[in-house]
Order: sequence, then structure tokens, then C-alpha cells
Amino acid sequence: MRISFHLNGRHVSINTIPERRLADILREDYGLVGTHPGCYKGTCGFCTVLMDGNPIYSCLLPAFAVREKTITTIEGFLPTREAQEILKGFQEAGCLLPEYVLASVLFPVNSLLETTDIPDEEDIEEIIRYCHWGPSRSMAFREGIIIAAKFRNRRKRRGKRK
Amino acid sequence: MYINDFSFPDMLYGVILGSTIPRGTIQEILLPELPSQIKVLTAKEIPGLREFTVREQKIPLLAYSEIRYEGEPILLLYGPDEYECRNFAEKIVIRYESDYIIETLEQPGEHQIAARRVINYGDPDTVFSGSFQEIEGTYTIHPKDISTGDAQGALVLPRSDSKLQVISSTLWPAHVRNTVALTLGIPKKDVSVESSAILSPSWKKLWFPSHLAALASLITFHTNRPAKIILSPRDEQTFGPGRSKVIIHHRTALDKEGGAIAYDVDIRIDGGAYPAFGKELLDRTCAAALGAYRGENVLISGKLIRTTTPPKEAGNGMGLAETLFALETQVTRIAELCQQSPVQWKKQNFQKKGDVLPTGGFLRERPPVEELIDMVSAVSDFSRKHASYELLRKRRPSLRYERKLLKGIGLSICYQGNGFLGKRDNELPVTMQARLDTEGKLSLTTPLVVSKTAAGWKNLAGSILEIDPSTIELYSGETTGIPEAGPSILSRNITIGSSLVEKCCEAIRQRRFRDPLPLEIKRTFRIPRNTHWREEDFTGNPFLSRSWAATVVEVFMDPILLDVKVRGVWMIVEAGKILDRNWAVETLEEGIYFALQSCGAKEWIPFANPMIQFADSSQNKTKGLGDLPFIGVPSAYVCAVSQAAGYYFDSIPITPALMHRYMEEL
Amino acid sequence: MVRESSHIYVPRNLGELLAIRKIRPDALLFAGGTYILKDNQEKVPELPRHIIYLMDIDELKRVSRTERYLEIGAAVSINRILHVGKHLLPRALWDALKGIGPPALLNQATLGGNLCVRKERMSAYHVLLLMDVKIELRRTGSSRWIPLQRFIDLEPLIENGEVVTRIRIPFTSWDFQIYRRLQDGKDGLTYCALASRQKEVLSAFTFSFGALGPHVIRSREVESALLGRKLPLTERDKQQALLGLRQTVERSHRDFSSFRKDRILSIFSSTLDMLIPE
Repeated sequence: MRISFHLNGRHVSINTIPERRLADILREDYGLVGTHPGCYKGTCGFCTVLMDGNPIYSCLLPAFAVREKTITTIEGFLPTREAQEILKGFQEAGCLLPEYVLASVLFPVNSLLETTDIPDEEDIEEIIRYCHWGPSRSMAFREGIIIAAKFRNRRKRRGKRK
Repeated sequence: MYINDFSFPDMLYGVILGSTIPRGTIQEILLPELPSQIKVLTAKEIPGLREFTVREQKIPLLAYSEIRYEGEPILLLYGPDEYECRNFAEKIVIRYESDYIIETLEQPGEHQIAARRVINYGDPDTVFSGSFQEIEGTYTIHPKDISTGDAQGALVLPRSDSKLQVISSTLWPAHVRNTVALTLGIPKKDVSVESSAILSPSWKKLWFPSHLAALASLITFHTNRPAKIILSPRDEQTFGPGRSKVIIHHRTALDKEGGAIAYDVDIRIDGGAYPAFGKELLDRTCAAALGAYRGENVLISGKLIRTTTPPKEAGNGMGLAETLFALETQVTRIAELCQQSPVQWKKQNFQKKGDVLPTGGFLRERPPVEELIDMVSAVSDFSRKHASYELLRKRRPSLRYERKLLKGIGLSICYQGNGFLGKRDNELPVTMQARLDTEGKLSLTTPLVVSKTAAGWKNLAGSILEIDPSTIELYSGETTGIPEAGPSILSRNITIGSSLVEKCCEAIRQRRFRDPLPLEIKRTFRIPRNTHWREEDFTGNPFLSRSWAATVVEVFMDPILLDVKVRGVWMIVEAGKILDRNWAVETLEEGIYFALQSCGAKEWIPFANPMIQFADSSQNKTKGLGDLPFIGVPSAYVCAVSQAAGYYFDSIPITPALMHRYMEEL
Repeated sequence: MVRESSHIYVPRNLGELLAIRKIRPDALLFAGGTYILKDNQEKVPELPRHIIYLMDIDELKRVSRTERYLEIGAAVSINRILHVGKHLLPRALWDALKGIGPPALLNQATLGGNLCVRKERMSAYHVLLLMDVKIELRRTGSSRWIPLQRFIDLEPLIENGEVVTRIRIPFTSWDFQIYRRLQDGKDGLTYCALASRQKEVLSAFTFSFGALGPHVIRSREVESALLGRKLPLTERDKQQALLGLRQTVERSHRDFSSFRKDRILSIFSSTLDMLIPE
């Protein structure tokens, strides 16, 4: 089956078995190995990508469901200033994110910061509850989200002033 | 790059087909008609040894005839398309002959005993017969598999010089090299091993990656093409090594004041079909069976039992997590039965400097247990909470009619024993090379597999030489050309690696303004011989060093749903010199999270974060701390839940169904 | 190849969907697909021969609201429903939807999917069942609204050529709502109870338990026996209600473990304790 979609700003087309999981297509056909299918059942979150701007688990998405959709992988997201703000937040909090967990942390945190200026305990707890990376239970991880929110707000305010 | 991220042109994928029965012999293998690009390998196609060795244990690479556990690899399919291989694997039929008797840990036959260990000190029989009272308990640790996320696998490349290049998700590259060379029947020098990035340095990555690497090498050996084996999550459940179930029976003799005067400990460990590292696990479990307590009359007997379950990994805490869970839960129970506070009882029964250990060694340093217990009690308000929750528990009529939140708090004291008891891995020297180039850039090279310690080492080197840690380069693993160093586990990176970083950088600091750049320094760490431990007769001080922790866990429990919420965790740690505080805290917090999960805890009250403090240490050396949460948290958790529910629980994990069973039985 | 690939139909509108459904009544209707793929952990999941993909049909992705009810297209993602707002959605429904999983999963999963899984009753089912939700079934040339209870009871589920298109949730003012989902493997339970109180009297009460698999535990007798009772309930009322539920469980779920039976009774008993005057 031929499937066309937008991948990290590029229009691409692939001939593949329609049942294949998007996570495998991204890794095996496009070399985007920042997407890690860790469980194939939507638990670990290491395969998160953005589909039309919303985070989804690419291991639970078959190829045929991607037709004409816009997919952003962690490779496409990392250069954006949104991603950089979050990374800087975690860095300042002293929480180093390994490459493996970037997709499972950056996408949910970004979604949160898009809807909330000042994340409260419940918001942060929800991110942590579903994060399957051990150190997400650390104080530094929580602080990382709070500092990232400050960076995001600062930029938003500057944008408004202009 | 992680193991699954590597890809090479013309690569073949290997898929393992395992046994569907736990015990028997292979009668016949019926292959479907295979397309020309898919091939099948069996044990007959192994050119070298058909078994590989982990410590003294031999494990078949592919079962030849006899099957000893369900999932045991029998066939290896390979082809250019992994999906196609998996499809064909489903079509293969294997016929077995099987009339096995189920071999369990609970009622083992004599033939199942793979190893024994007995420690007999003083005169326990006489003391038991004349004791005021005896307290017994049987403690069971059911292993709970906790996935770390990154895949297990191996990738092998043929090189133009007819050597093999292996990429493996291993913490023990030297073992991979030996295994590949021996099973292919080629010289070790013809195999070079590179470690891939590893998300979490778990025990699963100790010897099991060698098995996968040897299988992938077999494909390359027969085809001269790159070969890759990656276990799917389902494969990992089938083939991946599991953790051992352990059953520990404690019998303690008490005097009139409630003091322990004799201990009788019986330990049974499930070694699986092939007890890899089982002997080390047995020895550590027995050697640490009395934890921090004085024992003058002691009988400890341990057995390693073969069963029809997959081979075992050792697991965090390696024996100490199991044995100290049983002990701490038992002594807390003793304290409560003697109407004493656990703090008071423990303080009265701790080892003191000069005490003789059950293994015969003299205690050369006083364990810092009293300070730790005082500190943790103070920060967690343990004594007051414990007394008031005890009062609540006693006043409560029956759990069945209770509607208010139940509360409980538990305290444990534990140590992490650093270094292996077996001499072989301890005696390998570890070398590190540091180079400061003409531009003032520092690079460190070591054969240890570095994953999480990298940041800690860079910070340490940066602070000694006053350079930016982010500019420091770190090269690690087998390909560095530095001789093998043994597995990077049991906090060896922290204890040995950090000391080497310090020595190398100190040497550079002294010479850098005297001698011209570049400067190259090499330092080797030799673990001191005769460290007061004689493996042959199991006497002396078993561990190279001990790091200590006092842990308090407080829980709230819903009386209707029997759901437990962790209200708080407090941990005071003495682990020598702490190199990087942030890193240490993060490691402990991660450990606490996994340890609570393995106990069955699912929920945390938001922001009831573990509170971690480090006790001042007079010691200037670094000691491991990563296993402390796995050793200290379980018994504190179980004691807390026991107090909340009003029933003595004696196994982990604790589930609502288990609690209900206890309530029904009592 | 050993296995043949599925054939995928991608209708662009409701008309096309119904036409395809008519000629392919056996095809798998695929919306978010989260349950289907979760249930199938192979690297390449094995799916039925014919699949109709629903997510490109605008008519199935609409949410509309009147004074009396909320109408949700079968292919609306759970997250979009949550965006309707915590203050507008009934509390128990909000908790049930939120509890399905992480936000990334809720972006994919749909309410239609949640209700159409046959092997087990999913999280939202019990809440919607108690709320007297209606389901729109359509086929070429006709449509009908049926209560959720009947939709589940129908065997076969829906008639040839029919498709679930909308779900209608009435805004009944329940002033007491509880939803719990206990994930304990084979002993897992889902529970929902709704009640209305008028001063000191229980004017409406309904509850449902779900256990692993398709089991649903309800008792109309217990519910109606409690109606009109003065609040708080007397010890006698409570004991009778508990006895009624115990008999229901023993009658139709004899095989349940004693843990599960006890848990059902103690959860229900605590609900009865919580029913106090407004």
C-alpha cells in the first residue's frame, strides 16, 4: 500500500504493508531512531511523536492511519525553540535527559506548557505518573518542568510586548 | 547509540525459536517449505563449544536435545526481513518427548540442589533449647520484572581482516568476547566488542547479552554478512533471564529482655534451569543473613535449587535485598512482640567494633548504624508516628468495619556489600588512562562500561583540574585496547572507577604546570589481595566495603480497597565520599521508585518525595550506593503496611488480594 | 509472504462508509485502534482481512451540545471530549475518561471504540450505562437510536451494514457520583454509582460493577429497594441492600474469588455509608 504523509516538514511517500506500526516505519525506513518502540502496547511512551500537533504513541498507529497526516518526530522537534526551552529547563534543574527518553518527556511536557502557564502539582504528577523513566521521580525532574515553564512564559511575554 | 539503533546494509535479522515445554527432549523438528532467503540454524551448526559459561555454570547456546525450561532457545532463523522470519518461525513445529516431574522451589528433591552453604558459629542448638522464647517467620520474595525500556540485542559485523566486530548491550564486554570466541571456535583476538548505549545498567545486561551476541555471531560466521538480533518485548518475556524467587525461614531465640541470643536462618534460592551467578547469590545471601546485628550463636544454611524456570539474573542488591528484607522484617516483628520500639530493639542488638562476624572475621570499624537510625528517626518523626499508629491499630475493632484511612510506618537499616565474593572478578585490575592535550582538553579512557556514571566522573575530573566538565571526553569499553576489567556492576564504576579518575587527575594537576603538554597518565586499580576474606573456607570479612542506609517508609491505606499510598520515604545514607551529590540523589530516588514498585506500591501522594540525606563520613573513599534502596526499602515498606493493616505480612510484592487472603486466614 | 496483508477501506464521508459497510459487513471498523494494537503485541500486528478506517469521516468527529444532552461522534478522541470541560462533563464520566490512560493514548482512543470492544467492558462503559446513554446506529437509508444496555445485549451486536455513529449523553443532574477503576490484574474492578437526593430522601440511585471480561454486575432490586429511603440510610436498609447484592453476585458470579466478592461488597457498603443528606 502506498502511503503519503508529512514527516518533519517534508512530504514523503512509502510503499509498505498497511498494518506496520508507524514507530517501525520511522526507524527502519527513515532512520529516525529517536523513536523507540519499547513495549508495543502504549505503556512506555518512548515512541511518542506528534500527529497533527498532538502527542500519540507511534507503536499503536498502523501505517494506513498515517495517510496525509503531519508527523513530527523528536528529530524534527528538537531544533525548535519549544524543545530547547524544555531541555534548558531540565539542564538548569540538574536533570540530564538521556537521548532514549527525549520523546517520552519532551512531547508531554510541551503539551502541558502549551495549555498551562504555571503547571500545578497535579499537572506535574500526571506527567510523572505516565513517564517510565526512573529518574522522573526525582526532585530535579519536577524542577525541570517548572523552570521550562518559566522560560516558556518569559518568551510568551516578550512576544506579547513586541 | 542504543543497540536497536544500529543498522548496516545487507544485514540479516535473527529470530530465536524457543521450547514450548519446560522439560523433555526434542524428538523432531518439522520445517515448512522455506523461501531461499530464510535459513535455520540448530545446535549442530555451532562450530565451537555448544555451551557458554557464566561463572562455573554452563548454558547451552541452542538446546541440542534436552530441554530444561520453557522458552529455551532451540532454533535460530535468519533472513533479510525480520517480519518474514517471525512469520515462518510460527509455522515451525517441534515435537518433544516429555514426562517430566515439576521441580519447584517449595519442595525440592535432593537432585535439584545445585549448591549449599552452611555457616555454623557458636552453639545455636544449646542456646535454642534453653531460650526464653523463639520467634519464627517465613519470608518470600517473589520477583517482579521491571522493564527499563531499552531493547536487548546484539549486532555482529564481519571485518575485512576476517575478524568479527560485535556491538552489544552489555555491561561485561569481556564476557561477550569470550563467549563469541569459544562458541565459534576462533581466537579471542579475532573478536572485538563495543558496548552500545544503555539506558539503565540493569542486571539483565550482565551475561544475557553474551548469549545473544553468540547467536548473532553464528549467523555472521555462516554467511559473512552483518547480523542483528533484537528481542521484541514478547521475546524478552520468553527468553530474557528472570529474577530468583527466594524463601527465607528465620527462627530467633530470645532472652527474657527480648534480646536475640541465637539465630537459625534457612535460605532457599531458585536458580532456574541454569543457575548463572547462583553461587555468588547464595554466598552473599548467607554471608549477610544477620545484617547489622550481633550473632554469637548462629546457624545459617542456604541452598541453591534448580527448577524448570529460565536462567536467572542476579538482581539489584544481589542477595542482600532478599536476605535483609527477611531479617529486618523479622526483627521488627520481634521488637513489636516484645513490646519495644523497633529503634530501641535494633540499637540494643547492633554489632559493635571488635565483634566477631558469623563468618569469623573481626569487625574492624564500628558500623554507623546508631547515628543513621537517630537521623532518620528525627527527620521522619518515626518514634512518635510509630507509637501513635500502634495505638490506633490496637484500638481499632476490625478492619472490616473501618472507614478511616489506615496509617503505618516502617524502619529498616541495611548495608550494601561492595565487590564480588568470588575472587575472579575482584582480582582483575582496572586501568584508566587520562590525557590532557595541548589545548588543555581532557580525555579519559577506561574498559569499564560507562552509562550513568559518566556525568559524575566528568564533574569530579572537572573540579580537580578546574576545567569545564562538558569539554571532557570519555572513551569506554573493550575497544579502547585496555585489558578487560570485569563486569561494570555492583557499583564497581563508582568504587573503582571514581578512585581512578581521582588518581589520574591528581597526577595531571601536579604535573601540568611543570611538564609540557600533552600529558598522559595511566593508573591501575588493584583490588587489595587478602582483604580479610578467604573464599575457599568462607571465612573473614566477606565484603570489600559496606555502605549503609537507614530507611523509613510511611504509608496510608484505604480500608475498603486495600490500596496503599506511599506517604513518604526518608533515607539517610553513609557511602563514604559522595562525588556528585545531584547524581547520587537522582540514583537513590530512581532506586526508591523501582524498589517501591517491586514491593507492589503503585501510588505516591504528590510531592511526598523521598527525602535523602547523607551522613558525614570519616572515610575518604567512595563507596557504592545504587543498590541501597533495593535493600532498605522493601522491609520498611512491608513493616509500614503491616502496621497499617494490623497483619504481619511476610512477602513481597504485597497486593490487595494477598492482604485479603491474610485477613481471611486470620 | 506467509500472511496476506489486510485490505483497507478509507471512506471520506458517512455515505461512503455505509456503502462499504453494506458490501463488507464482516470488516473491522478501525477508529483509534489503540485497543486492537495493544491486544496484538507482534511486531507487525495481525489484523482482519478487511478493515474500514473511520478517522477521515468528518460526520463521526463532531461534538454538539444542547441544553438536554451532549452528542459525541463515534470517532471523537477521548481528549477532545475532555476538552468540553470538567465543569460541563458529569464528574464520573470525567474520571472514567481521564483514567483510561496517558494523554497521548487519549489523543488516539475514541469513545466509539471504548464502547464497541466486545471482549471486555472498557472504562467508560459503566458510567455511560448508568447515565442512560443512547447510541445511534446507521445503515444506508435508515438510522435508529437505542439505549446502551440494548446495544450491548444485542447478539449479534449490530445488524448487517450498521455502524455506530453517535453517542448521546443526557445531562441528568446526579448530585452524587463515584467512579473507581482498580487495576489489579485478574482481580481488577470498575465501579460506578450515581444518586440524586431530595432533601433527606434518596430520589434516584443506580450502580454498576465491571470485572475483567464482559461481566457486569447490577441489581435493579437493590436499586429500587433503596429509592425513597430516608438519608442517612438505616443500618437495616444497608444490610438489606448488601444482602441483595451478595445474592446477585453469588447467583451470577459464583466463580469470582472471595477477594473479588468481598471487595465488591465493601465498596458498595462504603457507598451506602457515603449517602448522607445534601
